[in-house]
Amino acid sequence: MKNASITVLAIAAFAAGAANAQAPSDPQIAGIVVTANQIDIDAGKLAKSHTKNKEVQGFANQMIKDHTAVNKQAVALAKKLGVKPAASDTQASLKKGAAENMSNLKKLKGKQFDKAYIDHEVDYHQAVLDAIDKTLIPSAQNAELKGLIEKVRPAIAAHLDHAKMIQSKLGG
Amino acid sequence: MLRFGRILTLAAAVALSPGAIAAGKSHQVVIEGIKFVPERIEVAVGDSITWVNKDPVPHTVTNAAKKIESGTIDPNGKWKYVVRRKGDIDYVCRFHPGMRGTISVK
Repeated sequence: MKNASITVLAIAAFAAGAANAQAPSDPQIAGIVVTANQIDIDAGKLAKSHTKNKEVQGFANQMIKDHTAVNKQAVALAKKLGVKPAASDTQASLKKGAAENMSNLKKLKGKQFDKAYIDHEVDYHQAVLDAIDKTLIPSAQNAELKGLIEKVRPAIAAHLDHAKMIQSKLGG
Repeated sequence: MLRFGRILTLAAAVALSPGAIAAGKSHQVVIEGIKFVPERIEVAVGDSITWVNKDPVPHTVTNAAKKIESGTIDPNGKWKYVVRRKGDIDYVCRFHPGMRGTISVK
């Protein structure tokens, strides 16, 4: 139940971007992208050290690998464009939600941990997809920044499918 | 340098079968949108295929049974493979379970 409330918070954080009358600026979008990736890298590292489930381990490795690669390109693009990633309410909410998720996961072990991690990954990637479609792509002004987010979208969709597949195997 | 070149030429001549010495065609598979494009490619023995990763995440080209393994192909990276035998080769990306492709060797 606690995990569910954390997830709702994370989704609300992203949805806030869509609901805001003022769309995020390119520097704020860059900040959101880098933070969103880093959050999933951190969760992946925690899962890698906690889980004994081979599939969860594989998924965690993939999250670390993919989100690290995306962040490397996001940082390089921001540097090239002279865009300094900026803070935003969405970024702050994301960080808060992530801290609570990590704190919750650290208390769990074994199958309970695996289920909580994967459940959250499903909700998180769905929220990220919604944010990409409703906020980040429509708001991005720079064509290269918009292009990078569009290129990242299929990877996020694949992560969501992968997480759902593991979620169905872990069961209730 | 010249001598080294001769040794390389000799080694290549010894290593390759007569049929494979003739240069084959070059083909390209683009990795984009977490897909191999095209997913199925028809080639001939001796042809080469280069996979070009246009995705923002790393991928592999892998068929464990046939010992085909690209290793990690980073974003903007490439990997080239020369086809040596007839038959279909199904391959996957080790990192992304839904990604599949087929090389049909005529």
